[in-house]
Amino acid sequence: MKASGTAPVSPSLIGHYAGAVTRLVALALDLAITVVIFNLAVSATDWLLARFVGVDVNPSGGNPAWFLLLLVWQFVYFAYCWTLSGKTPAMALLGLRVVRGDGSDLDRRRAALRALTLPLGALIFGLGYIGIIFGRRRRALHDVIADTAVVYDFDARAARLRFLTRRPVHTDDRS
Amino acid sequence: MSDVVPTPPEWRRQVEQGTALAIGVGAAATAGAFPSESSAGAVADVVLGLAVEGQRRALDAAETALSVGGAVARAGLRIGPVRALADRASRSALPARAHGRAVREISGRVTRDALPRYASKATEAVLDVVPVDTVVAGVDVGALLDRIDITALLDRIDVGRIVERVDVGALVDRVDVARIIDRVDVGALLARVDVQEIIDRVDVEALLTRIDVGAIVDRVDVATIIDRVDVQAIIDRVDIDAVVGKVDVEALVDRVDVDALVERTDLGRIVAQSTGGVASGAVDLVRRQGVGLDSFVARWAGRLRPRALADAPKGPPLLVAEDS
Repeated sequence: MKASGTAPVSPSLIGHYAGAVTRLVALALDLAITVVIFNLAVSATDWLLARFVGVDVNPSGGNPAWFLLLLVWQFVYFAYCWTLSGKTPAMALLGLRVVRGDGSDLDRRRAALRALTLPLGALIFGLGYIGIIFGRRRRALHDVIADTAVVYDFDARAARLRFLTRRPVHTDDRS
Repeated sequence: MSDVVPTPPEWRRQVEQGTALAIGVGAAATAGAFPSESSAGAVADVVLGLAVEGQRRALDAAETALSVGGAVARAGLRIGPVRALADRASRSALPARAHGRAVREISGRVTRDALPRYASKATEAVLDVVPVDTVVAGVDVGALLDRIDITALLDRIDVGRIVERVDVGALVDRVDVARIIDRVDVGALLARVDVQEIIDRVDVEALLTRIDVGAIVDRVDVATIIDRVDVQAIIDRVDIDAVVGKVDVEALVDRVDVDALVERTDLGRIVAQSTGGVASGAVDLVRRQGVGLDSFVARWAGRLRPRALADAPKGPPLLVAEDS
């Protein structure tokens, strides 16, 4: 890991507070996923209505209702995923999970509150996410409000072993 | 009319007994030195005969003189002047009599003190000249034992006192045990032992209750025992096929709680990871890179806020122990 300038991975990171980079990447991926799905759904709906009903909803017309609908969709997406398993698809990909402040499983109310307050950090010019980097418990503003935390949820040691078993053995390595 | 044999006086009988004793001791001491058939023996017999005869005649004369003198004295004492003279002489002899009595008592005491020493020497002298072997050979031991009341003899023996005076330690030290064992015919001894009877008489329960098993186990050096055990040899002697053949695999599988096993080993997760293939490899790569970048950012944050983040918790208390 010297090329990337990263520190060695501990044997197992399960339960440790997740860092800013993975959380930011996961959030970006989730936003991309929601937007893509929303656009696909709106395009499909527009095509179906235009083809079978003859109504043109014109989703690209700058109607703020679409933006509001997108926010609702994103709220449902995050709240449902966190309630279901504590993680969104992007968080599952990066090995993250949302838990309560003490480490117990997230309930529906806290998941909804966290999803509802998620944009606050961005609305105050990103200052709501500073706590992820400099906070002792690495919590953003919406984490503090909902009393939640984001932790790693994958076995780094097992990943390391899998990496070693897949790595091809070269003659130079033996020497 | 029968002959009346006069009874000799006491003093004469004592003298004759003393003479007979001296002659007997002398004869025993000189036994073999003067055989009767030899000239010396004949001369000795003649001398002895003359001495005995001389003593007899002297004793007869002394007895007669004492008898006559006694009669004369008794008759003289009836005469007044003679009796007065005798009384006077008797009174004159009183100091001498007292002196003689004192000498006799002193002599008796000296004799009693010295007698054991002289008796010991006399015994040694007698034993030197007496043929003990001949005497012992002549003893009928069987008859002697028949005359002994063994039971009464044993009743008179204080065995406890004898045992107390015995130095058992010194006695045992003098015993050559190895020599005794060499002389023991162990085979014959064991043949006479009824092992079953001994076992029947042993109270095994009482014996076991007296055994301190813990103390025995404490004295056992298990490590040494294990070092002496050839485990490989034991394994080589085990017929694995026979052991496996005795195992009821179906019953064993039935006893396994598969659900609990999956929960404890996260078997489903292992299966998923093992079947992930290339996809899981890519995910691992993304995660590891992400964690590495997180650590990089966290290290820089720690430099900016060293006091606040130095002892920051690694995770929620329910997920991460305090000392991790």
